[in-house]
Amino acid sequence: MEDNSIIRLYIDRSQFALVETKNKYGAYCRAIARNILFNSLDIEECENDTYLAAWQAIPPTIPTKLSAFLGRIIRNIALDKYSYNNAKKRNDEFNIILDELEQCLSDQCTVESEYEAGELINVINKYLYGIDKVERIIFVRRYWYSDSIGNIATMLNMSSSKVKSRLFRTRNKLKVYLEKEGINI
Amino acid sequence: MNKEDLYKTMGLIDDQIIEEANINEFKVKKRRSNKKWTVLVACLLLYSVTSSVLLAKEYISKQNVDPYLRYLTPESMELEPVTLYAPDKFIEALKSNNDEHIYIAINRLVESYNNEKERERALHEIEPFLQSESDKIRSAAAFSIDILSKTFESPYIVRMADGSIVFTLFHNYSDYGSHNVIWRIKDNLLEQWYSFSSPSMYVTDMVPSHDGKQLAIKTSSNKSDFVEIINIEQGMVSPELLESARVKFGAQHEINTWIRTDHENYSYVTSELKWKDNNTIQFEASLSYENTEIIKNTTVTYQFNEKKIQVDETVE
Repeated sequence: MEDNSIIRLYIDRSQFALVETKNKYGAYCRAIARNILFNSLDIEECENDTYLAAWQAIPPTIPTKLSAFLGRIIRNIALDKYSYNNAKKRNDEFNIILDELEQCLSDQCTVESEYEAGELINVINKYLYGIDKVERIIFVRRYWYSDSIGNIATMLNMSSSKVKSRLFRTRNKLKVYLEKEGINI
Repeated sequence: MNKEDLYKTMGLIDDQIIEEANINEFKVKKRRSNKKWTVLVACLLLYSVTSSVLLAKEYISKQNVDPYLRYLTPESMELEPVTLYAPDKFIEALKSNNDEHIYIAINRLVESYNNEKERERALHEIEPFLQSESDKIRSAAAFSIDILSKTFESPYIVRMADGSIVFTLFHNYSDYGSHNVIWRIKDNLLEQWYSFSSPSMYVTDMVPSHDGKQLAIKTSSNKSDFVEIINIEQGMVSPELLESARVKFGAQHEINTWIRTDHENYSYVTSELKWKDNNTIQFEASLSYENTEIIKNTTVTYQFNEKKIQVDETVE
């Protein structure tokens, strides 16, 4: 079913909206949660919470891209659950992704240099639009979809070390770019 | 801001960018190249143990969560209690419910190779793990069985000119590569042949020369790659080539070339390692200077006997 038709079902408050969402985007949502969480019950719970959140948000919100809208919801829910879970249950692989992102953080962050998420993301979006397409896709697959380096390498038919090196440099360049824009996060 | 906040903020990346990375061409295609031989091993064993073909079918179809290991330390590979190599401990670990212990035990049981009785016992005990739901455990079991049964069909095995075979255990246990120890079977004797110290945490590639007398080994850390050549006839090893190339190119082009105390070079091999002839290896390398502010894409050529390295900037 087309996204517009699914959104129409939400607006009409038809419960088929949830069925159709699950049919079309269930696997996509679970894949995003699975990259963050370890436990299959947690993943299932996140998926159900995502459908509920979508049900509550549409309307009044009308997503322009339903996949990105749902992906963003399940990513946030999974991250909250990840933070909530105790250290033993944490997904080490996802922890590496967070460690990598730490490289973009400034060593000299002060209270005064805390930024609103909206302001920061505008700069990050600007940076991403300005870089090479493949670099951008690798970066988004790693830090939005939380894919493993191995998976990204397979997807893009390149070696893992090439993916690692491109990620490393994109992160470095992002840090420099943020600093040039006057943002020390 | 902490790293989790930053990750959360990344969630607000524009829809258009997210969609771009979600196009069909980028759907994951499972690698198939290594399945052929593992299925072969499974079938060979099945022939002797059971006539069921379900095993191979299960092997291909099942997918599940794998144990995740970031670094293998000697301590983590020992499993309690720590003693000299004791196969009983690893056989016992196979009966546990701990996938990580099972994975370690399957790999470590390869070390039973030199003792005929223990070798056959290990083979028998590992065989059921060809049906494991974990891809990592199934692959490890297939590889261990390939070695212990002396089949030697695995693509992870490298054959050298002197009739020896070399391989790593814990193959691709991490996103970054395999355990940084190379094992060798020569004259039917298994031995720990060569190992690497920090920062070479992972073995990522091993490429023999055409005549099988030299072996190029690529290792990596989370930040850098490293390349060394071992000549098995002379028992000699080359200098580390990536750092050598970085220093040489830096000197040639008057670029400040500091060497870090942790020996991380922040440089990478960006192509396959290719033997041009039996004495000359060539690869593309991305060399980093001034804390990665300067990146130079180069072609590195190394002649082993002459100990001569040539670094040319790649014109893109």
